Amino acid sequence: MGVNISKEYLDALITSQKQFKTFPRREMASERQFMRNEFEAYAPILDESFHVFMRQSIVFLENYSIGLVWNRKNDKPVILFRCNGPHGGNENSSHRFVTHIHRLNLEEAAVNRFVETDTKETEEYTTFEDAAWFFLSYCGFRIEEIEKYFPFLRRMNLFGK
Amino acid sequence: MLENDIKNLLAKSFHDKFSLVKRRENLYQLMVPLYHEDGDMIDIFIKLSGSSIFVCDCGMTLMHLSYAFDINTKSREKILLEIIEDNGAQYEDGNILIPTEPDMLFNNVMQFSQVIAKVSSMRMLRKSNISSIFYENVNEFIFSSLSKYNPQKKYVPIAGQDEHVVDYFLTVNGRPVYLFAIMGEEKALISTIAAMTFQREKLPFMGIAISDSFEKLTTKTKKRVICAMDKLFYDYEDFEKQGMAYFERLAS
Repeated sequence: MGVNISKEYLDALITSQKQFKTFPRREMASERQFMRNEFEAYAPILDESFHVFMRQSIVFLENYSIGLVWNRKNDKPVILFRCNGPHGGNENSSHRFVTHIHRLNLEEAAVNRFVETDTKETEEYTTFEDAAWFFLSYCGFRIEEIEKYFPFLRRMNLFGK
Repeated sequence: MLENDIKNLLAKSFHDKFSLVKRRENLYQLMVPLYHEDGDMIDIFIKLSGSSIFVCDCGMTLMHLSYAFDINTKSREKILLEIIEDNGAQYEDGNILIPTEPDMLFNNVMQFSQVIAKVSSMRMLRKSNISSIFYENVNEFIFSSLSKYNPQKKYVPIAGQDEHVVDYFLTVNGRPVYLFAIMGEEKALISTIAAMTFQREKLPFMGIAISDSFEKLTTKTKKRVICAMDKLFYDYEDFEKQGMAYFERLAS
């Protein structure tokens, strides 16, 4: 069954205020050739649950991805929003090695194909730490909680927003 | 369009679409028009190590896969290794690679792209797809390897209480055995409640749980299952390997 949601609702899912349901590790964990962290979140206004993942290559620190997964009730989870580092090429961009953001493609979702092919280059961040800060604040997490659960971001973000 | 025109067109297209970017000393990223479902280019690198050449992914395929699917069980790791080895590649601590020679470089790059595509498609094995596989496997094993114990599906031990259902009822040497196939928190709790209800009603039975992946349950749920059941099979592999022998010991 496809998902017919409006752009407005997608924006709401991504940006509405969220609470931490489980808590991230204080440091990224090393697994194979990358580092990872993740936690569960909840948006009380929408009564929706989410999973957040963070990945960063050990080989190429500029290759990272931070994503928001919508844990749909009684259906498979869907990646809604992802902040990527300048990792290489993208089908929808003529530029390579640029930071970019993926969003769920609503036209594809309507026909039951859930892919984040709605991609745009961005200048909102450069490093992984910048991207994490941008992602968490954009996705509606409170600044006090971001600083509490991601102290390494606080250390990096001395002049942050 | 003449045959030569097509050949020239393809040769030019392939040539124009390939490029090489130096990422580190002796490590080059191959830019090819091959993409993941989300539009990101698949990561192919050429690594030079002395006189050796490797086509590899520097761990990027499994990192990309982990957005939606984790290789966090023995069965998933087994499937991963089978895919890699069956397609002529090697695996080293998260890095997928194919050793190559200059005259085989193009062929191995094409081969490598196939390996990446197949590994990436493992996301189809995530829970919503795999749930039927686990229950199917358990069902098939019980009705083939444990058929001599007369298995019955969806057994209701207490008349009128069909909310407490046993997935499989077996009779082992005259002794009732209740098997619960557990996948996920909800099913674990339902099975635990059922088993404890039967115990409270002093029904004579032995309770056995088969989990799809016990380690994924929360600590509280694990404790509840262990307290309620007499025997636990940690995952389907454990059940498949040990199940028959275990039931034979029960029957003796």
